Amino acid sequence: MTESRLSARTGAGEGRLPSSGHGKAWTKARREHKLYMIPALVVVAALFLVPLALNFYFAFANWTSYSSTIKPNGFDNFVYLISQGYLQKGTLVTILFAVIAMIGQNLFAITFALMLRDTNRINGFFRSLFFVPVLISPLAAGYIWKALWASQGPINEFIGVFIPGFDYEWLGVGATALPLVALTDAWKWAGLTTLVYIAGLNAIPKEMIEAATVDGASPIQRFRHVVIPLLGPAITFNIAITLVSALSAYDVIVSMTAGGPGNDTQSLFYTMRSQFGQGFFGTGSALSLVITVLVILITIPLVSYLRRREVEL
Amino acid sequence: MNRSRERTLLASVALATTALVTLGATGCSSDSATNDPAGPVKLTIWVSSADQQAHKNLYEAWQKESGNELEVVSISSAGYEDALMTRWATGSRPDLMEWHPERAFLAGLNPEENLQQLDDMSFIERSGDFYENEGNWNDHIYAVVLSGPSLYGMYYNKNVFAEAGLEEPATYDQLMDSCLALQDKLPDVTPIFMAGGTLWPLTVLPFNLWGGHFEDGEDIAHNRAGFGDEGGPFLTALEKFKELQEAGCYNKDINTATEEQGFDAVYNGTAAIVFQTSGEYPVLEAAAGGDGEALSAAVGWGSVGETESWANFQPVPRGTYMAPKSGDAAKEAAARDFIEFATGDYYQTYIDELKVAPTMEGVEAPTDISPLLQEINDFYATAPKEPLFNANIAGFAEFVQLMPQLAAGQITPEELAAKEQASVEQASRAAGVEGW
Repeated sequence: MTESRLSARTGAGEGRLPSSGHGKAWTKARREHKLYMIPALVVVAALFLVPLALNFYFAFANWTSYSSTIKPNGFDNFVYLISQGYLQKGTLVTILFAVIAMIGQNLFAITFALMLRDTNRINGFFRSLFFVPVLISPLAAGYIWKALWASQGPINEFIGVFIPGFDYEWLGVGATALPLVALTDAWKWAGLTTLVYIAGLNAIPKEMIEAATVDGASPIQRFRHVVIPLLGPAITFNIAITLVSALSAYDVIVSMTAGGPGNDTQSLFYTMRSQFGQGFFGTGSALSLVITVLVILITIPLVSYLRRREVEL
Repeated sequence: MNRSRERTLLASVALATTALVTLGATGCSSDSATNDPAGPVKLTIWVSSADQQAHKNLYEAWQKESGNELEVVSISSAGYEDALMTRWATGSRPDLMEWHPERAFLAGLNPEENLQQLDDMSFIERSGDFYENEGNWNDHIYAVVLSGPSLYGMYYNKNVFAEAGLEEPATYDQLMDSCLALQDKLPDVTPIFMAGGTLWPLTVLPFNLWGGHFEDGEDIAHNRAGFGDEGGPFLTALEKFKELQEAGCYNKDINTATEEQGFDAVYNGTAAIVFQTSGEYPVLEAAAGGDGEALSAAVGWGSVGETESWANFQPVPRGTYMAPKSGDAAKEAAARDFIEFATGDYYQTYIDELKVAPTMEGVEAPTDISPLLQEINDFYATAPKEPLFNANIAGFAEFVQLMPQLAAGQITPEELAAKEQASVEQASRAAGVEGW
């Protein structure tokens, strides 16, 4: 990467003060800049660093509602969570949920974005329509889809028209319950992701598409070799956002399955809240720490990889 | 930059920082509203969204009588315990709150540290020995229970049993026989409806089977016995739960069916039995369109024990109040005044409106109640009775999360017992329960 590209990315060089002949002014300005940083640092410390540090401490402490004494207890909370099976099951459910929701949401969104790319009245109407689920509360969305997938619900009734007597417990069987809950989450947020993709698509210069067309590229080739690479930043953003939000999904799970059947849809977040609800705040904090670590371990390498791909493409 | 500008800048930064810190501190403060010591007091009360009109009338009446203000924070009844405890974890405290008065739940609030003692209040001596078990932690009283207890039993459809020529069961063997006979005679009827989608109703059948085993629960509470003891009541009840499931006695949508669907089914006669609590009667009556007479004509009440029928009772959190310490003398006094008011002259109005049995002497029990409610009250008066098996077992609440796993075939009764043991051990050690 050239120096000029680096400068353009980082903004380095802009607004730089002269370094010779103005030493005193430069020192004063630096002091002034540091003072301006204090409110921002207080916000970051109060809202991010302190809670994170406290979460880390409580994850290794015997904090419960049963006692006012809080003491470090090593890895006891994690040992408890493993012995109860919560950590293993919660991690598996959370990752599966996040992957299904992330893929589903991005596939829905990119499809809608391609269909609604051009700005006109009809597309404007459909863009608004697809955005409506974003405005619905996640709990309400969950209850709506729960009713639709119920064994006596409209989806089974519709299938029953073709297969008389069809009766399947979509949300009562783990193999279908988890994907359906994850896809409901994807449906709920797809409208927002669609807007990002539409903005990305409209930023692609038409000349590049036209040039590919003139070169004889088919629509699929144009999409694969021109559109997708140029949509890189939007893809990176959407994948990161959908993955992070899906890793901490809760509301849709509670309203659709309450963690069931059995514990087949009990994500880490669901189990964390359940532990807090029982007064086991230390084990709840341990699960919260696991979620944080999981988000960091999954998203940072993924985003780094996608950013590198953007550059290569 | 000149000196005056530098001072202005410093002042601005200091002001912004102070504002942020103040904002943060405000965000971390108690739920209790601020209060002018000279004027009327404003209290915060956490209540279940399932509170009935009688509870709301009580809040209104006290505000009118005392001139104080009550900010009612309604928390969803579905998962009330989880939601309340999550708030509690943040350090947030109301001035009054609805909560379970059994030791198992009381322990979770660390009452000695967090709740006002009500030992000297007049309602205690008008309640006989009621507070020897309820609201009692280390011989101090921390709760007032306004409503009579909820029983863990079963609602059954009388027409279904009559059509099949059967008597309602009172023991486990009779329950199994009824199930097999119903499968034979009325194959379209679900013998026992289980609402696993609402989670906790799955626990009601085991609680029925633990009737008469309160002392065994006490042994477990103090680590003299374990949940997984072979032949012990805990494990035996879970094995019987599975036996009935393997015999095909439950509805096939056990994992997703809801409490409301169970009540609809037993009222309409598509199910013969639903194991439930008497405290959920209003939900059942709603299934009958609010018609208590029609409901009573179709549905009866009973319970199923190992060898005989027991009235297993539990005080309900709705209408059970505790007064967390706030450090504000005026507000703490006002919270006690609310309790005095609720248990004083107003108590008869509360009982008349709610149509439940009173817990205190000197108050008439309601008479204009549905025949089914009367049947439940008569059952409580005549059947052998005990508090629930788990009343004093700290950390028992895990059971609600584990039963759906048992019903879904993910764990065995023995595995459930081991997980329950670990949960209770963690809570009991933290609470300093004797024996742990």
